[in-house]
Amino acid sequence: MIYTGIDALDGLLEGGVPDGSRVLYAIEPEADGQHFLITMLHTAVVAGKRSLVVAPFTSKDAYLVDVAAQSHYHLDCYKDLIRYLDMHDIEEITNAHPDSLDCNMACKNLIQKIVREDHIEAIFVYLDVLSDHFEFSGAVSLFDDLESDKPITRVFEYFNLFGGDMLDSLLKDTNFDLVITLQAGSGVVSFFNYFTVHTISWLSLPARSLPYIVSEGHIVPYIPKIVITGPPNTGKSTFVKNVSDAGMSVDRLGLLGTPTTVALDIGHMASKGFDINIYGTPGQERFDPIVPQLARNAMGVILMVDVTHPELMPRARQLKGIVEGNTVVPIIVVANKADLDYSVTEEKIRADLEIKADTPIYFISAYDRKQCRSVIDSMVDQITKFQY
Amino acid sequence: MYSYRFGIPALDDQLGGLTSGANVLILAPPLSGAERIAYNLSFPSKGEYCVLLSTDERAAEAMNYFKLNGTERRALAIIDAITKSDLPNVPDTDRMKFIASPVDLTGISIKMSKVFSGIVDESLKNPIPGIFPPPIRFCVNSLSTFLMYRKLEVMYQFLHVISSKLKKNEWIGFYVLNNESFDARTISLVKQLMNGVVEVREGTDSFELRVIGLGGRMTPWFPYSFDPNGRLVVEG
Repeated sequence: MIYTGIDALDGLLEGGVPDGSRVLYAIEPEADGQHFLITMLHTAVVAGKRSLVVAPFTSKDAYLVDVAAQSHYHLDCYKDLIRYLDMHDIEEITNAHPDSLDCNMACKNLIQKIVREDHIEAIFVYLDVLSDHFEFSGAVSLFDDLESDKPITRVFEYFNLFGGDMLDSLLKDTNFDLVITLQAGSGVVSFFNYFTVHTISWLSLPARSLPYIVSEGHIVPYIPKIVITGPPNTGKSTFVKNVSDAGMSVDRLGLLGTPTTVALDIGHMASKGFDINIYGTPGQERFDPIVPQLARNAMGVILMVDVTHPELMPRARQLKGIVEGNTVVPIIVVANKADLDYSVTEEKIRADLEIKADTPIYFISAYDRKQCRSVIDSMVDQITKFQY
Repeated sequence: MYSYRFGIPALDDQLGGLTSGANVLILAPPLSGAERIAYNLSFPSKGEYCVLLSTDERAAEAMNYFKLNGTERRALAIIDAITKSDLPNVPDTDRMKFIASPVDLTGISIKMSKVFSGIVDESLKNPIPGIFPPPIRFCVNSLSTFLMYRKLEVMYQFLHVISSKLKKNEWIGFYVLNNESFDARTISLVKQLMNGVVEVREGTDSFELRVIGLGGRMTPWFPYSFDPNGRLVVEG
């Protein structure tokens, strides 16, 4: 097993990448995606795996400096574990063998020799220049059928200028165990990046795009918005306050003597390797016009009901309609105040709110931080792993 | 719509400036000072920025040239694909990015994107409001280098991505291509991505240039030379 080094991604892949797999990171223009391969290389060598890096676009020294500057990994500490084939090595071969077939053979022999001599367990390849020489499938197949006593994991990075259709046609001829595409959402400038698990052979995962930020050279996937809504005084603000590492609430003292949210609650937290922002809507009807704005582009919805107040269920149903709008996002129902005497049962919630049988319902107390966190963990799973 | 000026009276008189979103190919024989022409067209006016992708000249040299001609430091960003092959330790700054070699299109794409977003961010924070997105002149001082190292189809697509980005943001691009090193097919493919061409030929006494296609027009041939600071002087 080799870890990708990105907690959230390892979580999605249920641990990491099995030994002997063939992995492709396909980077689309402007996406800041080179850290993915570098992070994986780093975790491989930290775990003591002997690795070969094939980087025909650069010299070894420049590569090491680049990795240190961009991703803050000092690969020169692992001198004994990493072999490099850089631009000079590849140029030497291509110059000596003008015929493409000969050249292919020479490359293959060299790689086989290194693998045998150095007991290589993982190979990291930058495909671009090689695929100019040997086409995409030819370049990938250079690293096939290598004789070795251990299975060899091969990780490729490819700059995909041609978009999704081209990638699909390339993948028709060449099989990968894991394909992750890295793209940039761009307006005037590209302001966020996202990755998509395009293909995975050992699991069934929906192809879902997840944004990530690169901070200090590390990749942090994030969920920009989870919305929590429900009738007034059900405990939404308490929930947000309790799950968040940092957050605030815009509220004022209500008629009942307790604060009521008048704009939104906002909280920030980390869960399962994701950075998450959570937005709480007001529950009062007079704020209904702003709820769709708060819910726009949410990746998940938490609907909160008060199990001690069955008369509020129609209002909960109404809010569910408002936040859902026309989009399909995963929903979780939280039945709050389950620590008190309550009369609302799970069946009643399902019937009143018209929710599907596979939508989870959690009976919790929003005062209990642990229970709140497990709701968020479940939300992350809903967003990343399940069909909805 | 913002209109860019050539900054060269003869051309501005003839064409009335450049429409935003234009991509212009500078097609020139060797030794004609083509990259100097491109730099001259890329000099940022007040409130504009220039982003230079340098594949055959060190950033330091190019920067000197711009400075000599009055370009402010913050108005110029350079992505340099030359220096790093000799000096692997050279560090990136906000305005200077270094790529190990011109074949590394992934690196170029990421660093270009960083430079562009840096400039846009900065203009948002600028206390003096200006046009948004800020006008940028993008310049590649030699496509020839790229075409020597990478496959034509790959380069075509790469240029396509760049030129559409410039078009979308109403920026302009200048690309230098040596017209003697490549076959007609290569040149005509590259031309497909362009809105206009600056053609250079050897005249009787000096080199001459004309502009084709911008505004659907063709200018007459103008002889040109460079003054001691390297500024382009077009007669006519």
